Amino acid sequence: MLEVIQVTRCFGRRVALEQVSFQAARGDIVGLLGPNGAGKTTLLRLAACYLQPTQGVIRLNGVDSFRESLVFRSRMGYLPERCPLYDDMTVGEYLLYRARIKGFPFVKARIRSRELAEQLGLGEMRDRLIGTLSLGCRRRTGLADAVLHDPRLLLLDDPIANVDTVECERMAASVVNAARHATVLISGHALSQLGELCTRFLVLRAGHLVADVPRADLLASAGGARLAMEVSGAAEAALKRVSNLFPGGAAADVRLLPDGWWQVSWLTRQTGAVRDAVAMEVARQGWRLRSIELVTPALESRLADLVSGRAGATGSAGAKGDA
Amino acid sequence: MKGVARLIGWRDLRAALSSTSGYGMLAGFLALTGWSFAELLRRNEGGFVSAQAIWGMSVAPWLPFLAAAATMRLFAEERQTGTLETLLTAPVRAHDLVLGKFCAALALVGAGILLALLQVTVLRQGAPRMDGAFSMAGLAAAALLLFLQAAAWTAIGTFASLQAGQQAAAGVLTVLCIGAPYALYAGLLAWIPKMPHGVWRWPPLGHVSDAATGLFALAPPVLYSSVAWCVLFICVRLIEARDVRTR
Repeated sequence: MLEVIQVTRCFGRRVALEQVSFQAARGDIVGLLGPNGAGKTTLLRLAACYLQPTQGVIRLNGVDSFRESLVFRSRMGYLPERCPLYDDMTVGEYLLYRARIKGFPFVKARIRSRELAEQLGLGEMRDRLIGTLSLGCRRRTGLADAVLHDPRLLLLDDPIANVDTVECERMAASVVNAARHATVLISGHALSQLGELCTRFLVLRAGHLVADVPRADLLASAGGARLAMEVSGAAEAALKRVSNLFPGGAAADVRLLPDGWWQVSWLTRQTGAVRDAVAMEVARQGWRLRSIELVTPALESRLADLVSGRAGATGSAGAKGDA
Repeated sequence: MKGVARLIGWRDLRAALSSTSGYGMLAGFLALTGWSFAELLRRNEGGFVSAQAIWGMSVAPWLPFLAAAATMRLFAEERQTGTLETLLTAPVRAHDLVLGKFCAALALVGAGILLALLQVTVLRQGAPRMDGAFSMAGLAAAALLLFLQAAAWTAIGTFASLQAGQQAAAGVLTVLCIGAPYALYAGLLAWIPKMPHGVWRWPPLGHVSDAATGLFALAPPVLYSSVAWCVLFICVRLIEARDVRTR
């Protein structure tokens, strides 16, 4: 459990963050949204122990970020916005070095760094100098560093900026994987990607937390999402029974396409989990799956409204409404 | 040195030696000390100052510059490239971080002193006129005191690198921090009328010269060691309090 309690940070006379409070549980993927200069990076740096709060407390499972900084940092992974790495080292050397300074013994550090490099698709790049990597590969190397020690809190500062769709999806998969046993705080401006990924959104504006909205609420106000798939080898009745996988049930819209494939779609307020469950059911039944897609056309615009302040704050405790 | 400090130190040393600037810095230092040694030897021809004292005095004035060059990148470069952020947010103790970086820079400065020592012993082989003028014990004493001075200057450089926003600023700050106390002292003396000119000698030069001629007092080693420890302690506290420039 991450607790941010009445946190204020000033740089000289300028107040970068003022009285920000929120809590996030394990498994939460919290999206930090807001215009440039809203205080997202400052909040992440405070949670990463890079900066000290002027006022307030940050705790992770009861461990204070300042008083027990070393313990806190040993349970936290952080990927800064610029993804700073040592350009004169190879990917393998860098991950080994970082694992060693994070306290892994040499042999374990070697195993863990290789394992993570493979997991994140960096296996073939282990001997390449970091300075020669593309931005996406740099980000993956940075992410590998951040999750090396299985952190309980993962802080990612705009990790999907300026990367292609494939990198974006790979990053999202890694974040979802990390969120199984951690709290994830992720900032960014790519609303469509963050909309898919996050379970909750915090909106910062001019150093104030102006909205704290669970994804389900936002989705409900946006009218829900549409999950659509194209399958073959299934009977219409069997396809309709897939609706039972949706919490509370959802009416399936089943159509036969001219090429003989079935197009099935549902309106839902659930997203990633339901998509995965449907895909698994298709595999279990032995049907052929051509495509499965989750479309949330209104979510991005709802998020944009929240960030720009056009929407009213749908706040929980700690959020200041600014309508 | 503990594991994490050793790792950090090794990385820094490797980075310094994998760039041409590291070798350029050492080559420049050797050129300047070699030139100073030859010049002082020429001026002292027929004089009473021993050759090993001349060597010590030809190395000591350049040490603050070598220390500045070796330390300016320690934290300032990490800050510029952003890697300071990942370093300070990793579970690394502040004293391991400072000790690792300090030792890496001191190893470079120590290598400079060692090379200068090697240079003068090689010069001695080729200059028969210097035979008999050299005392190896005096040379070793001067080198030891120079190493302690290097530790103090390197610690000051580490502090400057922690506080300065840019590498060049860190270098200038290091030289100023080392030179300022003496400049203040000399400036104050200038106010006192009829002060003899002898007091104008920079104290570290005198300490090296004395050690080289067999006057190895306890005060200078204690002074330089204390400066090094005190400044490193301040660096550790600043990092622990996150009271360092972060951008």
